[in-house]
Amino acid sequence: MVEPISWPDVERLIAEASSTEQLKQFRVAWLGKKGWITAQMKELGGLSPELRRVRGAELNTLRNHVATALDAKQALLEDAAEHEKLLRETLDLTLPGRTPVAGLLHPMTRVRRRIEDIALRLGFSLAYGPQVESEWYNFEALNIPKGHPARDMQDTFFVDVPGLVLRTHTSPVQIRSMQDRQGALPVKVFAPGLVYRRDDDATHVPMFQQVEGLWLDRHISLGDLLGTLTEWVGELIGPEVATRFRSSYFPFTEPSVEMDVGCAICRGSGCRICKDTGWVEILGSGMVHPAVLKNGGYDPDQVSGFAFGMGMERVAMRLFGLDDLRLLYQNDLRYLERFQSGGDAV
Amino acid sequence: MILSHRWLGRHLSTLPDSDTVQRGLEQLGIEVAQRTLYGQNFGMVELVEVVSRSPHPQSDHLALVEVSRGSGEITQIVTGAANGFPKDRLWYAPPGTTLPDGRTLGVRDLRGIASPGMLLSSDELGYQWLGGDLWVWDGPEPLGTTFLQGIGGTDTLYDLELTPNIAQYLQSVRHIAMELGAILGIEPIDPPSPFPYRSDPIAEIEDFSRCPLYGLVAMTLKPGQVSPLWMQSLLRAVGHRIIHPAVDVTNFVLWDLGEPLHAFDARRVRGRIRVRQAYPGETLSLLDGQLLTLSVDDLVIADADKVLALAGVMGGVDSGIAPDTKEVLLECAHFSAPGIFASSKRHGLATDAALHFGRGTDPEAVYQSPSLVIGVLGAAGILDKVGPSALLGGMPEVRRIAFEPERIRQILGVLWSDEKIQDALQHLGYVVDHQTVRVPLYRHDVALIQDLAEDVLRFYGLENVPLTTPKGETHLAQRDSKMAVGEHVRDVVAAFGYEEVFTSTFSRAASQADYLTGAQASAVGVTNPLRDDASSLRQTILPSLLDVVRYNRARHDRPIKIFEVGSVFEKEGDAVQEYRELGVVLSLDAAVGWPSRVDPCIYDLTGLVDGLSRRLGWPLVRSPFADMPAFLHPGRAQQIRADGRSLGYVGELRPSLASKHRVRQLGVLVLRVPEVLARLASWPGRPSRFPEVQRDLSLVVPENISYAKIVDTINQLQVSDLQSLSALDRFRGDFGVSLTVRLTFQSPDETLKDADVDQFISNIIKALGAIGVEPRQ
Repeated sequence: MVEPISWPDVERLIAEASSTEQLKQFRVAWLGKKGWITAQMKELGGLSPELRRVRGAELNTLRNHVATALDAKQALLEDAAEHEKLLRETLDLTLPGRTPVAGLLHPMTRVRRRIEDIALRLGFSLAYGPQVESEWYNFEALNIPKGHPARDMQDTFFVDVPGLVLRTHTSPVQIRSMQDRQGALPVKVFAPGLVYRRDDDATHVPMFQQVEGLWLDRHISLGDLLGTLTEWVGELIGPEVATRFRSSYFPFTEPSVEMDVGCAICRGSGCRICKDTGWVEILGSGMVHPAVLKNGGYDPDQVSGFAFGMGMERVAMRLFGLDDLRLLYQNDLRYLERFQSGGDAV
Repeated sequence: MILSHRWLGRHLSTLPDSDTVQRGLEQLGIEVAQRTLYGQNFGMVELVEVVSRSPHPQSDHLALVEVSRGSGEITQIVTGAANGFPKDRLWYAPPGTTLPDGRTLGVRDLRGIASPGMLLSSDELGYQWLGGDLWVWDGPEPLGTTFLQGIGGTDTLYDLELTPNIAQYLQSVRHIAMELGAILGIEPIDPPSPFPYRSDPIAEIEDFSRCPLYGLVAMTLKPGQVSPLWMQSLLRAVGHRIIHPAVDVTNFVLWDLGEPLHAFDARRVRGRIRVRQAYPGETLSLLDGQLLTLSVDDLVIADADKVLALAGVMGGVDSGIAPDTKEVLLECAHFSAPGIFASSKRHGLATDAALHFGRGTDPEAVYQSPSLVIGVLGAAGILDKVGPSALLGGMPEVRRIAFEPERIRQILGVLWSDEKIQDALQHLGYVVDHQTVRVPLYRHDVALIQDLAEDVLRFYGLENVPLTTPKGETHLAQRDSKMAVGEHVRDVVAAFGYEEVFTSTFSRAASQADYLTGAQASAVGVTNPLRDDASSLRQTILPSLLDVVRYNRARHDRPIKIFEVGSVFEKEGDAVQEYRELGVVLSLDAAVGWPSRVDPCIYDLTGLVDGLSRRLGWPLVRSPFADMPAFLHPGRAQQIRADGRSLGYVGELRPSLASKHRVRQLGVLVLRVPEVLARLASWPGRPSRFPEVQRDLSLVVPENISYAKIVDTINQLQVSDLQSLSALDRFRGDFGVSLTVRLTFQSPDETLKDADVDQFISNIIKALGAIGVEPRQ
């Protein structure tokens, strides 16, 4: 049986529908081949042309409205059904995620690279030398002849090849770099690398990493050294860090200068780390000694320059806030995995 | 070196406060490691007067002594001392006092009577005084005066770290005071006047090159004397024991002028003193009891028959000062530093004398020292008379350096005037006349214009140098390409999920030998290792990584996935070669945890080799070992080769070795990082716009046919449209090994038709059939 319908009825019935099955029945009843609107359309033929046009337009509009309303309600019901289904698939996302398996570079590699990056930015090329070094490069060429008290300052490991030692510092690379440049200027290199000293206690490890900077040209002065170091340490540790210079001694530089930075632990008020001075030594430096220039093939009357060197572990301790450098080389993976981020530094 | 603040006052007309002194020292390049106070523990020790003394009712050798204290209080103390009678003024340490030997006193019960604290002997205070057991004080101070007040109050001590250059002249309170005075604008007190040596025939020098200047003075001391209290407290403050006036005064001069003197007991010396080289095999019994066998390179002080001392290092026991010594021969010498340094090193004797003479002393002190000794001992009433004396040799020549203020300005980067530079030098003891600078005789560290520049800098302070940066051509900086390869390897392996470790280059030679492959060069030995397990340089990186595995597994049960790029060393003739190796270690434990992950297996490492090869553009090839090393699993290891050379291996460690490192199965990979291997760039071409066709083939594979053989067989057909071939699945059934491979075809020019692909597949099946591989039904 086909009931006559009106738009308000249609709106009410669709709004009340709660299943797609009901909607299907309405669609058949109203729009199907035998539906009321279809039936009304068929009867248009019997009307006068004037009446047929008016009635035809009414029926078309009604049919379009009904179809649109049915489609909209259909979409609404399907969406609700899907939502219902998806809610049953809920997962506990507070469970741990599957973290991507990415490796981690050792903190010392990251610190070394930061140092190297700054060196490159400041125009220092990277240079290297052998870890098993000749006594000449390690000592004599650096103005440390046999019997010199300074040889005692660095307790040396010897190897079973006469004349060779494990290098006690990266300074031999100064001589090698000068020789490589064969008298050309400037000589401007940075030499990172492993060095060895026969020391093993709370504050020393027998194998550690140093970095050496060398800048030779005409008319380089101590003021240039101090200026360059201030800039360099500012880049490395932060421009706000307090710095100071102290006279010191190294056989291969004259004059020699040590640089301190404000203690990061106590911020200058004095603590165990800085031995209550508020300062921590960061590097040693000086004007390259004339004897060293000569050994590298440069004339000290024409050429001058400066060199500086520091322990990279000290920088690591500073950047990561460490108080025991031995832990860096213990290779305890639980410890190494804590070095996930070095902030802006590494 | 320990520097006493009060001692500085002997040389400066006014004594600045200790902060000023410390700042001055630092400006001079003298590091103050620590600042401490001497004498604080004497603040509780007070002067008391004995009121009564009576025997202890329970003991024959103890006495009860009542003393009156500064507060008026009467305290009874039990003492075992033989002296301490009414009216004697004594030093009393009440409970709570800590003595120099570290004892802190309390109230003790001595045979039933409580005794608070102690009455002290001079020895218990670390001093020497005349009289009986207890120190009877004869000064005018009122009761209640503390011992600290008695010795003039506390003294600030600076623990100085002298660098080797300044140790060549600054191990002397006088020289430090003069430099401090110069920068702080304080007038120094005049040095002792030169001693008028006579020319008595009491000494001779055989080797003037080793001993350019030698003074000897005979003195007679009054018996039974002790050193003056002011000198005792200075020596105690810097850590010397008080021994005998003749010894104490030499210790005093050692630090005051930096001149080590030696006092011989004249009774033990026969004939003249001779400064000569030792005879081969000659021996000397030292003051510390050791017997030294000397060599001809040693300089000795001898008499007519025997060696008395190793010159500049240590005296012999036979001629040393004894408690009853009265006749003293005082040696004031200037030795050549290298000879003393060498003797001290050779015999392992780092005495205070050797640490001074071995670095260099002030020849002026040869003249000043006897006057100082005579002054001190004379004022204290210890010196009886001065006897014969002699001075041999002469003053070294004065060194001169050209005065070039412009060079000094250039070196320092300052605009200081000639006058300002000259002024600094003159304040530090140099004499600038005309165009030369005369270097003070004690400045053994100064030879070059750079040394003068350094002193000018120390005088004005580093903070007065303007900060500049060098001007000149700039060049682009470069990384070293050989080293850059190692960095790429690190980056790729870390990106592949491995954690970097940093192990020691040192190793035990024996533990290395088990992990070498191929022809073996010898290891580089360390001749003075710190420990046995660090007696050579590693030849391969694997054992270091295995140590890391064991270390971590011993502490926690966790998967290990680590790598390192590090140096290894080999001896080649008289040279040492250094190579870099990549080492990777992966524990093949079942994966645990939620959400689940795939279990690691050896294919992770063989895949790592292939991944490295692709990422780095290295033509690395994995191939069977001709001669399988014993440390690897014989069925699960391959060699890694490139350009026909072996570069390393990948495989499982032999399980018996793995278990020693607390792992059941361990994958290992070692690759010598090639420096010269050409790196191929990827050349990707343009992707085809035609659709690809995938076909999966399930095969039954005989046991003796490897996957590589199947790939080879298919590749030999040279099907140009075959884009890729991959394994999808592999398992073992009743019928043998089943392998499913996926073949992907794609043409660059057209859409492939089914008939074409069918033809490819049938060719492939036919070729595989020839090696016994059949499609699975």
